[in-house]
Amino acid sequence: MTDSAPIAVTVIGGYLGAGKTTLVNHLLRVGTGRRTTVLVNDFGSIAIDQDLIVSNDGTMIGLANGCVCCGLSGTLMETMSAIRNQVDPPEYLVIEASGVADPGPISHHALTPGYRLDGVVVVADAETVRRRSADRVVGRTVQRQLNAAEVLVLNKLDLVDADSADALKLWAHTMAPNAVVLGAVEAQVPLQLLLGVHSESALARLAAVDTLANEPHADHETWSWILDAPIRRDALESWVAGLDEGVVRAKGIVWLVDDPERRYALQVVGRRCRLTADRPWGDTPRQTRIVAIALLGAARPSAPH
Amino acid sequence: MTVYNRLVSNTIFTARNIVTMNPANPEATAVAVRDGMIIAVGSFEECASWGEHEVDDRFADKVLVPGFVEAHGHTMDALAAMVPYLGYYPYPLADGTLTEPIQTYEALVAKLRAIDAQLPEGEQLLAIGFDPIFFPNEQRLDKRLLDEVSATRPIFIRHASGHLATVNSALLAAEGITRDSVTPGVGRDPDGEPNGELQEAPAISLATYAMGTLMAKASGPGVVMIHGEMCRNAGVTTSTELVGVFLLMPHAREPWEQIINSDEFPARMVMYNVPAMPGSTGDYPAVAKVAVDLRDNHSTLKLRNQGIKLVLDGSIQGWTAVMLPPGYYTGDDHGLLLNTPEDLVDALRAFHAQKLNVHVHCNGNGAVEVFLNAVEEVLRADAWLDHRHVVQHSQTTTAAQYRRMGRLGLCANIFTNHIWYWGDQHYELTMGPERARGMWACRTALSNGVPLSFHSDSGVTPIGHLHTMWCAVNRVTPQGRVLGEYEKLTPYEALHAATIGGAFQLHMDHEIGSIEAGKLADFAVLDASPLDVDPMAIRDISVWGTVVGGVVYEAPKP
Repeated sequence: MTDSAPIAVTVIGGYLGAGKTTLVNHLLRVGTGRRTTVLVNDFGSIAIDQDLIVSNDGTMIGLANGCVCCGLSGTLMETMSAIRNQVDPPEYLVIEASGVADPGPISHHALTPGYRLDGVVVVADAETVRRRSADRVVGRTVQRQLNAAEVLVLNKLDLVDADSADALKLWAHTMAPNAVVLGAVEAQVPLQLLLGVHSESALARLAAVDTLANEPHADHETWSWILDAPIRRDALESWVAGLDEGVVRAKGIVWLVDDPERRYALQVVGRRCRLTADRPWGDTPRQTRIVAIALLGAARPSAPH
Repeated sequence: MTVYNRLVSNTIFTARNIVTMNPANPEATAVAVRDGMIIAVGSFEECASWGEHEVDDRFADKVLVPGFVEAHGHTMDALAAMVPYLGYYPYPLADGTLTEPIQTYEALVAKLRAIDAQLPEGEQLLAIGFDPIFFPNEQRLDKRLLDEVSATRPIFIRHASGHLATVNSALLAAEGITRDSVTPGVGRDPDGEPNGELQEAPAISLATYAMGTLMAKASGPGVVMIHGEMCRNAGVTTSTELVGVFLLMPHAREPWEQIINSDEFPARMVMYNVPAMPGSTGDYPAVAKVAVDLRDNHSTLKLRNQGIKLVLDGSIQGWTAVMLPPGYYTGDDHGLLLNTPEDLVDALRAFHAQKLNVHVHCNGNGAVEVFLNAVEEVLRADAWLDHRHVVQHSQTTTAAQYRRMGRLGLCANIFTNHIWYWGDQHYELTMGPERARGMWACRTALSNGVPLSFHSDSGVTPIGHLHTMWCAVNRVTPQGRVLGEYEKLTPYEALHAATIGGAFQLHMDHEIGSIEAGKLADFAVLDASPLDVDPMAIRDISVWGTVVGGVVYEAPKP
């Protein structure tokens, strides 16, 4: 294993027909701006314009935008081990789960050496998800998928009327208690909300120029904070718990009161907060830096303290 | 082992008794074979009337039955011979010996210490087959017990389910698994230190060396030969690999072909290849075309690519089978369907359209329900009536489902060995008394016209139909319970399921499964007929070896 930065993993789950493949095709077309490997569930369903494809050997498609797309030929464990050991490993790995897979356990593979979990995105068909979740055979499967979501994309929202959509969103919050719920049509969701790419670059800029970044964007906004005093673990956790529902992601580097010699990585996707020990601060300035991405209209939280 | 040259002139094998499973000619004392095929069965005179012959009378005091057909096998059973095996019950190995049963923690430690003493310094101690379900009154196995074996040599024990491993402190240290490990499934003591338990694939994968070594051993072609030898020792002349990988890994085919098609390989192998990794989907129409090419252009008399395998759910004793209400008796329901019902219909439609025989792993009756619905859907549009698709395992299939199966033309391959190996656990823990009495519903299947076979799922339980038959006939558990008097079969019905019944499900009953003119000369050579002994003694009948296509393969005598 190399000492390079861990590969960030996003798991995309959801029941058959919800729109996962549409989302993956969208992602492949647009690209992430990073070297990205996408493990698709069904290689045959990949639909990409020929002029974007730079290589295709029947098992792996290389795209001009830096994405590489392939299917699973062994177990996920074997495949991820092979990717990690590549000469030039990707920075991002997107795993499209099968229509019945529980994305929760799949995401656990991202919490192994060489990887870090960027988030669990679940796509649901707004028209059918409630009925499916009550089905006597597949109901539990659908419930588990929703429960694992950190970002829940309610797709095909154009097929339900406004009242139903509101009721559905309320229901979705109870079924997916850890998730931010986004509505979508044809799985068109700004990729920055799904993948941590955007917050990563914002964080990098934040670290570089040491100033507060505030980036208005057409469909979301970015907020950031720098704290020069160490913060208590429980204070940080309650700050995360109090974030507006429109806050999709937050991430940062944290200086903790109870372990001040080490950096901690903070990652918030949906309502789920992960705080993991990182390397010692060494000579780098000790400070907490956090970036958050929120939907337009979300209430901006005060700085954590 | 003795290998004779393929026969060119007629050979007449004589025996004390030949149980043919051909009802028009049920018993005989001689069988004439020419170039691997049976040309006559009857008295010696009847066989001799076919012309010039040699007589092979080495079976004069033996009983021949049709070679057993294992219609749900796996070559991974070879691992029990390649890696130390810690199963609760003895496992028969290719050399004719049995593994030592591990029924107490003291025995476990003693066995591991013995292995430790023989391994070169620095090598990890890997072992498989430990099943905690048999130790309900012991503390959970953790690093402390394994540390008693060695404080310096890394030890890795994979449990029988494959979902769990237990390792010692030296292995934790060697792989850098510490209190800071963030991987879910790393078991912990109250103080946060890893306790040596690794739950599920992500955590187990942290033991990189051990898992890499086990996977390499399990996927090498060498396992096939060991599996073939285990077949020979059990009287199995046709076995199967129900997780065939020739569709997923085409390069694996040639090494297998070389081994299986050689005269040294003592059995026929039938592949049921998986079209996608279980739990993922594929381009089924395209895969179906490749599968047809494999079946029609890359099959021999000894190695067939006969169909497709799909996996719909998990296991009952792992609480991962999909059960209809009222679900599990005790424990948490971890049932998970591995394909959506819609995806199963797509898959089945593509394979059925190419007349590919499909076998579907369904342990829970919820999975059975999904499969039955898919078959019904596909048959409405595509009337291949002789499909013989198979509900594999079929452990909890309900009477109502068997009634549907009879009408849909489905077969059942029932995992009867569970009655002995986990029957008490199903009674006490997973299903409860009532449903445990109705599991493995062999009588119900036959009453509803569902063609029946049994299997060992070799690797999960040892290959061998004398045991699967013994279970189907007696339905006795280790604690002495009789699970479901009504579902018992007669020895004849059981032998039928283990021979011609299995052959039917592989679409090979015109070639194998009974001893009659025109079929391949495949026999199991036994000391006694399972139709004559006390039913409780069926599993104790000893197997001399086999005849496959007229070639004699003697099992080693320990």
